[in-house]
Amino acid sequence: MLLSGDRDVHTLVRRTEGRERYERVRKTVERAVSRYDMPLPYLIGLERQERADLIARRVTTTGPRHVSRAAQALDFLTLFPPTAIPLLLLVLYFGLYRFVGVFGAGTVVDFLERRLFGDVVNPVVNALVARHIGSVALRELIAGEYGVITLGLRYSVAIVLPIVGTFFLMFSVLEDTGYLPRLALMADRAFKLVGLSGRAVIPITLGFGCGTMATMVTRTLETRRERTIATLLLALAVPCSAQLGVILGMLASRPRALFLWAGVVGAAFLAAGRASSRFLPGERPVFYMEVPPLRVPVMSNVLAKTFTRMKWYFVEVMPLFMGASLVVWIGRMIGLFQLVLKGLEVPVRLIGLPSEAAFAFLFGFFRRDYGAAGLYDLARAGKLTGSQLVVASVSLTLFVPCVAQFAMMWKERGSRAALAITGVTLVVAFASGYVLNLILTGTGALP
Amino acid sequence: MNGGSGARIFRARCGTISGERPRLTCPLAALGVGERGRVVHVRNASAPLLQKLLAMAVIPGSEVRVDLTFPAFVFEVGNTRVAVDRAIAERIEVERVIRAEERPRGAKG
Repeated sequence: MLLSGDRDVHTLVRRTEGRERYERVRKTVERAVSRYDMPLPYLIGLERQERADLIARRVTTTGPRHVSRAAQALDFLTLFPPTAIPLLLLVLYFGLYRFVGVFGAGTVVDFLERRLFGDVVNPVVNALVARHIGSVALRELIAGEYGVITLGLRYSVAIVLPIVGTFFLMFSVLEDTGYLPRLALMADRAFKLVGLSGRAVIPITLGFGCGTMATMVTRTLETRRERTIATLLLALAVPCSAQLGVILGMLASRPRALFLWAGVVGAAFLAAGRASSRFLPGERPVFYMEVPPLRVPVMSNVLAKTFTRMKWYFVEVMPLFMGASLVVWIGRMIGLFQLVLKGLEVPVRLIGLPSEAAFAFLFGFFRRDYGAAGLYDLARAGKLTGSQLVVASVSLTLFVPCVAQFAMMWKERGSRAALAITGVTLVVAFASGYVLNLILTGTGALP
Repeated sequence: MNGGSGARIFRARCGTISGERPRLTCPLAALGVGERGRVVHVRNASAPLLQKLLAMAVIPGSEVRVDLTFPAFVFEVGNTRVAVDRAIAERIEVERVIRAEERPRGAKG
């Protein structure tokens, strides 16, 4: 164990044998290690493997393997690129986008948010608070528009929980069928373009459902570098389902505007990925994975796994939302909001938008789709031209993610990375808006 | 597909069959679909990567059979199937193994 470099054993020996004797042991180990040109743990592992094989061969016999026709066919279909790639797109579309993004993040969220919180919990809490608490500041802390219960609890139970639940269910199914590694290996080449490995297919696709959840899932990536790149891409150029809905609705009647928006956001995704994979220190991503045979998942296992993960989500993520609404409360109490709003009007006017749009941007941070919805209102009121509409959609998509995603970035990547990523998205969002506005008004396209 | 134990094994140079000539190796990335090789060593790999490969039984002496070369390399090692990207496949040195009954289809040149 000492030779294998096991840290726990090293600590144990130092504690029980005393510093001096440990140092002698350590020197001996170092001498032994330096005698080999391969890492010693590896050589030990090889030796162990050889012995194990020997024993295994002596005591076991291997019969011919029986694999059913259907299993063979499925195996082929999921590995042979001409069929595997369309299959991958179908799984991502139906499994992640339709089930998690549209059903979980749309239907279930709407139900819980409108019916449970909108009609029952929030009115009750508001009424109770109004009756029993005299101080306005305290009332606002618990209830009202940004209260710990009316916003924090609503956010975590009505908005994120359904997304998390449907995602974990889908993920457990994919995991237990053994399809996941196949998905990752098919996507590997494409993701290498943006400095990620095939493993990133899950968090990035999930980002089209909910960026907060997706940021948490970047944990599954192999290196810190990959996790950072994925977090940046999610924050910058992956619009969540709520945003997508409103933006598609707003631009649907103008196909040229829609294509332009998709093109610019797609380009930002590629550029940001390439740039960060070029400039971030660390090793290039490598991809290796065991590819297990396909199996029919056992429903009870899938449910048990989903349940355990949801419990873990509650413990880890809920405090985050509560904390976020506390921060919002403080910000409102000390008048920070008005200040930020004034500050935002400057870049908003710079990219050629009316100053009312600053409101949409600020609220976009508290919930990304509110921002888009705010723009939608402006557009319906006829206050935005075609080019302004595109500029606004692009900037809002690239703009800082919502408060929950920001909190998740802070938690997963640390304060420095979270602030740096937020800074980058801010600059990129307004810079692309500025350039796009110049081009569009200059050429007179999209009146 | 084939029993393996009774099959005669030819050692081959990369690309051509060379009978009893000195063994030459090539990267796993040079093998085509359906071709076999025996791992000789892993070049320029970091300790963690070596350890991972060891855990997946990709070690000197083990025989691999390539199932897929694009978009990633997928190969069988014993009863395990492993996927790696090209960068790793380039580092795994193998000697080509050609089984007698597969020669008409499997061997080039």
